[in-house]
Amino acid sequence: MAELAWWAFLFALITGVILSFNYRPWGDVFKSVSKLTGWLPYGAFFRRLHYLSGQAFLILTFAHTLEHFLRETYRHIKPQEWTKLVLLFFLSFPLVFTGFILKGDKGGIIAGRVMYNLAQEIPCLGSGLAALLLRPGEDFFLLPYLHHSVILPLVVIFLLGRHRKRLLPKGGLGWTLMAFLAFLATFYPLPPDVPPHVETTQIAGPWFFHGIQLLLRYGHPFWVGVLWPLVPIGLLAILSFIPSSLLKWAKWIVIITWLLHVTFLLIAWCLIPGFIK
Amino acid sequence: MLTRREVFTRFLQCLVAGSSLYIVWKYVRGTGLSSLEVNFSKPPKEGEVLFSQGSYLVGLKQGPIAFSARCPHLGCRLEYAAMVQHFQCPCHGSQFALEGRRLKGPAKKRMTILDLRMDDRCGAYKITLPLS
Amino acid sequence: MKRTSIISLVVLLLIFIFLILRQEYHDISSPPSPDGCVVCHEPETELSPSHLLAVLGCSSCHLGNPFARAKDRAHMGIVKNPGDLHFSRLTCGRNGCHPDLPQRVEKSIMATNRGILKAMQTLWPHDTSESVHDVHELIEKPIGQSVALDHFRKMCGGCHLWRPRYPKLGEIGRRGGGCTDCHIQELSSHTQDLSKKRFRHPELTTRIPSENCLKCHNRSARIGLSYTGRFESEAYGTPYQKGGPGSRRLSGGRFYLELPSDVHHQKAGMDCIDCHTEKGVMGDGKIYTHQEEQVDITCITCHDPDLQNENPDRELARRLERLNRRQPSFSVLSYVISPNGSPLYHIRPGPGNKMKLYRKRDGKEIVFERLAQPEVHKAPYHKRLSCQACHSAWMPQCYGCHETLFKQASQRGWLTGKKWPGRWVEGRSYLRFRKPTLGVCPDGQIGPFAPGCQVFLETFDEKGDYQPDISLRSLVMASFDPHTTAKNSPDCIGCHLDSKVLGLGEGSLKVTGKGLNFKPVYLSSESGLGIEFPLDAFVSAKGSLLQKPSRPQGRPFNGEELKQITRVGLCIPCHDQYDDPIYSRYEQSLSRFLAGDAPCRKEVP
Repeated sequence: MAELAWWAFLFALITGVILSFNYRPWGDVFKSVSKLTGWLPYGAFFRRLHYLSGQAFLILTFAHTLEHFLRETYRHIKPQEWTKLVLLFFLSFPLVFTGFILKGDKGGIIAGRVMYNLAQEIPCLGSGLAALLLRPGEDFFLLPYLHHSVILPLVVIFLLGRHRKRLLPKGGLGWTLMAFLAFLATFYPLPPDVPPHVETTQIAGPWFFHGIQLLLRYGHPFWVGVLWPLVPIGLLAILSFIPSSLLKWAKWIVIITWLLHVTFLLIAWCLIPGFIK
Repeated sequence: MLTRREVFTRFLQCLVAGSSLYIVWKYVRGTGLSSLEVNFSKPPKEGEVLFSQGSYLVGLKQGPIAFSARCPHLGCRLEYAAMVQHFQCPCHGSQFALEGRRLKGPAKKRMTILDLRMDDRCGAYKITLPLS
Repeated sequence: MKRTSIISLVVLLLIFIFLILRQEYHDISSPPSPDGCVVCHEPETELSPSHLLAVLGCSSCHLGNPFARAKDRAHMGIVKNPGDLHFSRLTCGRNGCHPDLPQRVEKSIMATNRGILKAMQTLWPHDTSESVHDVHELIEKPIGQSVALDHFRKMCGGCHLWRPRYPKLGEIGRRGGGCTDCHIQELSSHTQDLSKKRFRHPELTTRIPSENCLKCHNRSARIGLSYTGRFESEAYGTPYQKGGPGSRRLSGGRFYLELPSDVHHQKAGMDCIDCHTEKGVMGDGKIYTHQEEQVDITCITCHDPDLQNENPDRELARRLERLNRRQPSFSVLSYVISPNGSPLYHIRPGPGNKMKLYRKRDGKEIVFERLAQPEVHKAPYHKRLSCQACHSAWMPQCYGCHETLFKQASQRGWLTGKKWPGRWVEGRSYLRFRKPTLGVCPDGQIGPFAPGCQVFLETFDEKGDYQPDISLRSLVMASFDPHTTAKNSPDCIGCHLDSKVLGLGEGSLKVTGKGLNFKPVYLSSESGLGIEFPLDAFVSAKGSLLQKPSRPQGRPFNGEELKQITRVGLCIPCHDQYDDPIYSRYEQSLSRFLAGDAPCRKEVP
């Protein structure tokens, strides 16, 4: 699983580098993305491949973490190794989220604003953190671009840690994954980019955010939008520090919080039809 | 010795690599604009020099004439010195007369004349400025 | 290598080959410039020299998704009319184009209609909890109970810049559209067949044809009609032509008579934009309530210009001059400037004491006089007279505005296009062209007044019963420039002894030692109007106010002023020259006359 996730990350990295030759995070971003997708040779293919490999990275990292969670690896390995794995898994979310912003369409811009405002809700640190994530105004896309294409990938490469001794991941499944993603990228159209000025009644964030988006309608932004998503990840991360007598309980708490997240996600998909197109 | 299967695999890998490099190259090269439409809504009077988006429109006795503002020497943007009524390169000092004639080096050629046409539909002067 | 990898490689290779073949043989290889719209749409003509298709493309103005391949994706969020004020900040006002203009226009009188709304909410039955300041606010608000706002929504709200364009025939279809309301040359047909690749795109212009102004400014004060010498007549359509109504027609089934047009139109062929500046029309970014606060020109701006002042906005003047291809270029920038600082770049000093105007639409040179005859124009006893008081040849005057609201029926509103209960029926008492009534304008000058408006409102509820508590009479006289400027002005008697001009109304006026004796022609109470004074009486012979002025600072002549004006009227039949010596020391001449000492005394009965 780890190897596949690594492959997916590599594909995302390569297609990201290719895309960046024709992507500009300033000016009319929507128009430049539109041109990149619509008229540059193979632009749509690379964009879809980048999107799909990013999603594959997220899902496969999740699977990798789940695999080790179920095998209770955190009992045997060094706590920092376990934390690195969870952190890597955690970072795959902002990596995909910033990519969502960089589309430059209405959804992307609103996702960026939500991220900025959620960060500001954090007591004391909020405004400083928000300023590190995004600058409203002309340079709206600049910091998400920096995070998406430089900082987060570098951190991910660093966290690959124990797998980093080799340049390429092991195993022959890489070609299969690539063939599968390329097949999807050729025939699976991306959802339409909504021009930023269009008035819509329903805007959906990235799919994994839908549960939180639903909760944000009712709860306080800090508790529901910042703290609650961090709870299951945080609990997961500290598992290896917990004394073995309490581990059984801790494991179940982690499972319950994750199941709650999944439940909210499913409820959001059932209640709000606009979320699944 | 390579087996037949190994040879085939290598060949296949080369083909995949080649075709993927080809599409990457096509995408990365992109298709930028090769020329720019510049437009002047009003003709210049005799002796008047108008500037827009990298090109000059100069009113001469025989009619308006359009020049690229790039110096034929190394491509710096020529400035019009209104006091002495000639074009001047701010980088290396070449000078050109109003009609584009070279007055002083290091440029070897005269200023590049651009194709000027009048759009009958809207009465504007249009210039196609090559970007390469 | 494993078998699965080999199969994957083959699949990958097939996918790449498929992609390459599709790209090379089935696609337009190079992206269309400047955007993808031109693949399907190609205007036959350019929009304007400053908005070349090759430079801007379509999506800069019409938005949408310019490089999407599928029609539904490409057309997502498309804006049919980019000038629409709902979008203009994204289109015309986008960065690098005209970023300051939409914000200015949104605050201008033509977009806000603040004056009309304020007047109606003050004078008509209205619940102040529903009050709004401008049209945009009203569009956003739900329909309430206010009779004033109901009337605005259904009867007045058709002319404002927030109004979108609708594909309707005639004048209604040409009104509205934000920036495009003024800045396009109208096409002969209002619909386009966009299923065809080639089509006619409306031409954008800064040389705004007066017809664009006239499509709205032909009602109420009717200044557009008056300027072009047309007076809206009664709706008989006379004189008949070929056995039917005549061809002198206006929109809405109205007809007109030919009257002398404004001298600027008649002699110089000037358009509205030759006088009205961009700040005066599009606003200067400040919110004004009344038209006269925003309009930044007066007659003396051009006819008695101060050319010595420091011209502050040379850059704007140069830009405007450069943008108008028909204007000659000038090396020296010396031009007229409005009191608010707008450059009238096309009006310049001419030979001698003359001035030159270059018409904005065709650049034709018009030479005109500066203010002459100082004995006339600087006479101390006439120093309060505005130019319009004497030089307005006639003024359209619409008396009695009878508005009836039937709540049994329903009517469509202009702002949202929705229908709701309450149908308005409107009619006037009578319409006249005549010399204007004079009075004191808000700025203290003597100027022309006309009815504006004399409302007789009657309301009938859902059962058809008359509702006296929401019915009213509100008679208002408004001062405005009728735009019927003539070189010649009336003679002395024409004002000093004309009861209509003095504000008393049509009738017979006798000046006696005890005061004014006036008998009106129109008998309002006998005509069932329910008022004791004629509709054209602004003031009684004793100087009491009969109708409200449209601005609190305005008023008719008061008793003392009437007395003074008519007293001179006794002398002017003989002493009808400005330089007559009796006027240099009038009080003295009068006392001599009253004492029987004046040389003319014996001849006067």
